[in-house]
Amino acid sequence: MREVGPGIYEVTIEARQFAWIPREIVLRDPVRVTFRVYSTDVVHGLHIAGTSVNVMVFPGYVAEFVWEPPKGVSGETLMICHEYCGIGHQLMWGKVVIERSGATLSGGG
Amino acid sequence: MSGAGGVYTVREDWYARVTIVVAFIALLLGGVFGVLQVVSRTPYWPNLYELLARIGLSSSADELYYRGLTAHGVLLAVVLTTFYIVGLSAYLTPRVLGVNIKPVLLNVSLAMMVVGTVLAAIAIVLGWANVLYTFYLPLIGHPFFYLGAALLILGSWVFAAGVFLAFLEWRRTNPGLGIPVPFFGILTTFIVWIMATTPLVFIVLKNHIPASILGWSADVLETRLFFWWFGHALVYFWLVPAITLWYYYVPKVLGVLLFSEIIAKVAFALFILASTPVGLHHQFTDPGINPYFKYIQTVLTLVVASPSMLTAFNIIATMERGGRARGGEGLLGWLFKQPWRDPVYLGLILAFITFGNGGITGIINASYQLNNVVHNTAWVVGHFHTTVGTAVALTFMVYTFLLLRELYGRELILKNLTPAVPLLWFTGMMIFSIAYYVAGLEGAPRRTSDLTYGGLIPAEWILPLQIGAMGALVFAVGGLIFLVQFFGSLTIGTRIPITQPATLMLNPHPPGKATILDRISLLIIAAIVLNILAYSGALIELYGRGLQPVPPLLP
Repeated sequence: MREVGPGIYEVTIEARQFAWIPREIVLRDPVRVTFRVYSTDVVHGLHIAGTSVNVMVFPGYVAEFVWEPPKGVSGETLMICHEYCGIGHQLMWGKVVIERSGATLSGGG
Repeated sequence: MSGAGGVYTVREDWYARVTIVVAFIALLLGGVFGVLQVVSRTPYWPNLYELLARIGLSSSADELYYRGLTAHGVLLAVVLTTFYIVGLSAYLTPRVLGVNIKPVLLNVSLAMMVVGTVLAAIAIVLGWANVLYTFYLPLIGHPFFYLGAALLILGSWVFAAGVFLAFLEWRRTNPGLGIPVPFFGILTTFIVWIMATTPLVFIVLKNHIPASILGWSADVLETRLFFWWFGHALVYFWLVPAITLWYYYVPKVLGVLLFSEIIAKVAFALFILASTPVGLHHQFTDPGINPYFKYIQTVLTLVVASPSMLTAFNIIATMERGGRARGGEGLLGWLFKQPWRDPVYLGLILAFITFGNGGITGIINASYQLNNVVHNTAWVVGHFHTTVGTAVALTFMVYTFLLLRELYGRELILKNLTPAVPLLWFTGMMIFSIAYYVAGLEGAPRRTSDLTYGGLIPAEWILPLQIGAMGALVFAVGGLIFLVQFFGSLTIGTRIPITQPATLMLNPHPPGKATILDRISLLIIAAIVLNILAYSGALIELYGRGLQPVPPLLP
């Protein structure tokens, strides 16, 4: 994971039975996040609960997409595998942590 | 063919009796797994699979959950539907056309389908194929699973050949006549089935069986592309027979003509044209496919939604016509003059209403951007339990109340309980589906044995998942009553004689002249062209880039 500009992130995630690597992603005041997600074994699916981040992850292919987190999204969010990937599928989860600086969150656009 | 207005249907009826019993054995077993899994996956409810693991069925409750989920999907979505549909079609075809299906095809088809089902069942029950009913590579199961599935499908092809041959014979003896609407539905069903299963048989032979037996590598995207080419058309294979029963039974009970026979045929024709070139809407979130090709199939998916809407209009207009003929007045008076006391009619209409619920959520699934919110969430589970789980399954169940008399020659037992079957199924399914829509919109996943995620489960998921499970238990009770009535009637129900030759189910419409809609070969050619156009872009992209094979892995 790297921050290429203020709030501009590039995140690479590896999926394997039964974990996301890394398990935790911390984003500070994210504006634009480019995800690249790949699998080293079977089919997985990345879903960040409560957001529109929802993509299938295959071995042999790279899923690349851009997410602009809404301003209201902050704190810890579950990052789960949503495609059955084997009998440990329910153990495959991690966290996305979004930290916001500044106090004025409410009422913004 | 026999004397005027009748035909001996002994062979077809025997075939139908056997296949429909197999279908409801699948409902019984699949239903048991359904109850186990919905209770076990509900947060803070008891994990029933934990108990089964403790008595030694497996070393892992989660392994048992996915084994049960595989069985639930295969038994209900594949075995129940396919066996019921071939049985129903064997029952209807000679009665509508007055032409027999070749007995040798019936026998060969039944043998292949039963052997295939047993092979696949062995693999699933013993936990050798915990790959769910979508069996995406590189997850791999025992060769019995794939060989069994292939035999089941090829057996249904043999039956389809019997239907097509009977149709050709009818056409030879009735030149220039329009196809009766109920048979148009059966014909549509099997044309869609052949077009749907061709890509599946191809990919199972090319990728799954070599991976399973020889450990060969396969490309994930290629596998999914062909799987979903089949996978969405499959739903029309389930749906068209249910729609056919609505078209046949609703006007018959009301004693009026179907509002429009032409609209019915246009709907079936659109199903033939647009059922298959739409699979990419299951792959909106897949990498490796140009969004442009996904967009084309989004449009085609909305095209294939239109015959469902035509059907909704046609059925409601027929209900209004019937209600008014029975004295219903004013804007809505006709609604109160429906034969609601007929549990078969009640069940068909409740299935039809639930299809509205499923149709609307289906259009949401097929919308590229909205799909991003609901893909692979509990929402999808809610959706297909309203469509195949109710519009189709409930229709089949309540129509079987009639078949018990007319096909099995048995009086129905526990008759007073009959309305409870559609009412409980409908009510439970509404609760289940809407609760699962809500949970899905909040991001709760499908296909997961435990949604608590080490205590991090979002609070918004908990209540909807619990309410949904209660709804599931309600419709499970309806299903249980049905199964007790069905198997009970077969064993202890009073025998009633079945007259042979069977009476023809004459088309209430005067036998019209054939129109362009009755030119089936034209429709098939157009459908093939449409498939080639819809899929060539994605296939050229896939094979042009070169495949990325990966080795199979155990779940």
